[in-house]
Amino acid sequence: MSPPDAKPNETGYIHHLHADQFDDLVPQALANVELRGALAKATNTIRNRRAIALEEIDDLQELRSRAKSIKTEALAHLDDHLETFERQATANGIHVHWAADAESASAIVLDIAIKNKTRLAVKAKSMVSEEIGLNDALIDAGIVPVETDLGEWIVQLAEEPPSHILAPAIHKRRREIRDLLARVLGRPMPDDAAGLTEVARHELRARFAQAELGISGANFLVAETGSFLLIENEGNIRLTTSLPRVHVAVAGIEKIVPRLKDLGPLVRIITRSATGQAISCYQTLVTKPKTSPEDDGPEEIHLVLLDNGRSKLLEDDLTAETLRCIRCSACLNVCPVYRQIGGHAYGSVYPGPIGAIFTPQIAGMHAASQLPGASSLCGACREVCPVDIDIPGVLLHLRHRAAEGDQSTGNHPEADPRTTEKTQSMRRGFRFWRWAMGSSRRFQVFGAVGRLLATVIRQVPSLTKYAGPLAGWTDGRTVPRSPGRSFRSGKMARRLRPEGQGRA
Amino acid sequence: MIKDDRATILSAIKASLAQAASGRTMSRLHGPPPSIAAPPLTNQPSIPAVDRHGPASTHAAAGFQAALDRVQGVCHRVTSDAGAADALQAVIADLGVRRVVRSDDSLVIEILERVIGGFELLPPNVDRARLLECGLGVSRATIGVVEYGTIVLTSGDMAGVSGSPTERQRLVSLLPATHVAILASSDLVETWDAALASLRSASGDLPPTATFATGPSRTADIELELVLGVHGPKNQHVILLEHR
Amino acid sequence: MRIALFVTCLMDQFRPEAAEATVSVLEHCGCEVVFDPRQTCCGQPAFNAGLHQEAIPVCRGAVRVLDDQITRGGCDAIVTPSGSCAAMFRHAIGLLDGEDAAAAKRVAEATHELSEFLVRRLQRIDVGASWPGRVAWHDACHGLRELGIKSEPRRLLEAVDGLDLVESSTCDRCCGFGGTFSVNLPGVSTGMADDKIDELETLGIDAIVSGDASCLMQLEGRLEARGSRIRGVHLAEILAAREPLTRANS
Repeated sequence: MSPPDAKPNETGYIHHLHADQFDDLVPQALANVELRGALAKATNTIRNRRAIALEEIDDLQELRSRAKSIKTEALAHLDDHLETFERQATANGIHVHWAADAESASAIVLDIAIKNKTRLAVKAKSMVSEEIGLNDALIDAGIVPVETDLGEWIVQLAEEPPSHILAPAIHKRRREIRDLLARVLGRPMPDDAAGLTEVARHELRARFAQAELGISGANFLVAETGSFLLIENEGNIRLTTSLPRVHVAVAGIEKIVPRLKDLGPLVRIITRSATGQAISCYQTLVTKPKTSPEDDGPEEIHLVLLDNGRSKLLEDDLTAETLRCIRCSACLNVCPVYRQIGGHAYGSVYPGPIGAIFTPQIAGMHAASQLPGASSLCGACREVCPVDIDIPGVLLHLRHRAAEGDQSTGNHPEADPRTTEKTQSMRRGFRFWRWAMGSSRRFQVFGAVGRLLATVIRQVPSLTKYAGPLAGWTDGRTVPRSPGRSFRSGKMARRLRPEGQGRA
Repeated sequence: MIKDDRATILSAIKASLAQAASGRTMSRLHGPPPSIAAPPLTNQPSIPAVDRHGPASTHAAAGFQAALDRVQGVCHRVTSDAGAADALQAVIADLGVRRVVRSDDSLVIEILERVIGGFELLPPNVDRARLLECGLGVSRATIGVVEYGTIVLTSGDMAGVSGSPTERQRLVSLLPATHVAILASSDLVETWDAALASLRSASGDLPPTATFATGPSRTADIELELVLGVHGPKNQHVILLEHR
Repeated sequence: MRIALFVTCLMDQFRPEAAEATVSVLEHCGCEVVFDPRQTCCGQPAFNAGLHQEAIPVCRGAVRVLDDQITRGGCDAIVTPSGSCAAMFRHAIGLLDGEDAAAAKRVAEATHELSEFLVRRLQRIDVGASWPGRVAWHDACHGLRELGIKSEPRRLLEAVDGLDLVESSTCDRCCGFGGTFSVNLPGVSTGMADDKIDELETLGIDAIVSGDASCLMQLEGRLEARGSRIRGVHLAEILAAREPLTRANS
């Protein structure tokens, strides 16, 4: 609709986003003993598998730096690569569409669905489709979307969003899944994972056979050849891209890699990082629709390129690192915060450390500024990131933007009301702190006051309710035993004073 | 609408990249700037054609078998077409399969002709309902990847171009619970990257679809417990013809 | 070698024995230690909260005091018993402007965390310590991931007489402190501490040892609230200890 020279739509949209309720969702998650048990077990298992899988690679750092440089290079010339991709893919017979925002992307898919008289669409798991709220758009138009990835199917039946980028039902115990399927399908269900999987295979076979449209994401788009690669384990993507007459793939613009040979290093590192497998069961490289001698395959392939706020991240080398993400979810599995609260508490389809930086940058700080606070800045996420995204650095940057803004916004803070309130409260404390830290004498005086207060609270813990924002700290922790003096007031410190600086 | 979005997105990207190049942004202080220099792009096809039709070593065959074994697949190494037929017959008998569907690859047909029987053999162009009743599918693998025990399944009309065995069917290897792939040892390559490279014809063309399949399909979506056989095959057999 | 000590605000006020232990260890290794009492805090708590207006003056103050010691005070290096504060001086390079940024660069380059300084710079492993007891090491996040400190403290501890070092499988997992994080999300923070403590309780250890007073405050606070017999000890306290080996340490 907008003319080409219009100011681009800078902030995107994430469907069902309620990251502004993060503070309320966290206590709910913490109170859910079942959830925390499931998360602890699952994240332990995957992180160990990942570590073992990566030990097998001799030149891991070399591989990681290649993966990083492929994505960095792709992003540095993203406009050129997208145009090359469009040219090549079009020559291959793939219809390429451009969607500036979520609404536009959903409209494009819907248009294709309607033109092909779609009643049922089978879907391979796609984070981008969750991001743009494609299922709701299809349902509103009277089209039934059926998720076909086992975990995604389970959460769809439970009417929940996925809680993990790769394992959408990671928060659910087996018994819970059994009961859910029994309720939805109206018959008794087996107890074991194999039996439940067999049920899914059987139920979904019928859907695959009926569907007029197959919808998927894409892991990598290859500019050089106009192809795209789909990575999976279950075979549902192969079915989604083989059985229906029409296949639509929706992909963020950051999924581009320049050359075909770039796929090798990325494939080599993504599955090991994601599930700890040496390689996933299936990687399907799609280049063309079905050709004349073929019996099977889609007659039409569409690829929707989605911006939805991504191009804005390229303004800055640091924020652009966010777009290197290959969605392996290794950062979720090692994140101690994710481990405590799970994916739903983030209030975004993108949870965990990557979600905490991706969500506010895509949907806007006003909608998700609490998420960058969901980190102790421990750096475990960056340590495992196969493309070395400086997640802690971006978290710090976003916290700063929430509190003070930056040059690109004319130094206006960008935050939701809760974050603003919290920041203001912290700022009052830190203003005092700044003043107290501003001289050695004040530091000494307020240090003594602090030790005294700590001693009193240690004796009478009920006093903590007057400690304002600090009250929560003492809920589960005992205030340390305070020494009667500071280091600087001691004999040794006085002995160590450099010449000419006698005054403390 | 679509054309407008194209221009909007490309101009937004250009504007952002220009701003990043100006280096005036503040967020640099939170982390060091990326130190990776991007290698220049070239116009030539990035992957040279690979000659994979040389003699394959026993070492490669053993490596392939071991790798496939690690991912719960089964590799039958045979040294004659008759041996291949025996292996196929044994798989069918062991699983008690009553209906088998084949692709129309000539080698697949040749081997199946040597199989004694005891099952119904369906040609590839059966209707989908019949295909769904088949317990086993036999098709040709274009390439085998030694490092992972991967078979590459291609579809399309590439046979005349690259000389690679390319199937016209995708569902034969996908819908039945058991897939048996026929792989010539001359089609073995060492790495995934080499397999990808060898998919390209001399003119740089790729088959419409190429699937790299490693072992039976699997999931760990329920409590991270590994279950084999979800939507794709539950059993993956590869008959490796060491004499070809 | 003349060393400027950056003692860190928390240790100065809440763990003076560990600060003094740091000095003793350095002096035992032949260093001359100076402590400039104009120093207060590195500014990290406000910086991590995104509050640069508050962080900058405090950080600048620390940088100027320490830069003064290395450029004019004749100090060869800065040592701090905290990986976290050492890492903050690296961020200070970008946070501060002009001459202060240059000073921050000098300070960041001269600053060493204690164990890193002893092992890498002085190449000392055995510092003559004796401390009877069984301990596990907690890798403080910033020391581990920003400074790459992993083997150094373990080597130092292994050389301590009477000390039995056991490896914890959660050694590199965050304790949950994270500055304002532990105040803003206290439940998550204690959950993270519990994750570690649950495992530590199975190791039969007397103490959890770390190189950061802030991690110790978090872990000790939680250990004590849970009624655990495990206590928190700073690395420097062990390295300076000369405990008789016959007495049980409890």
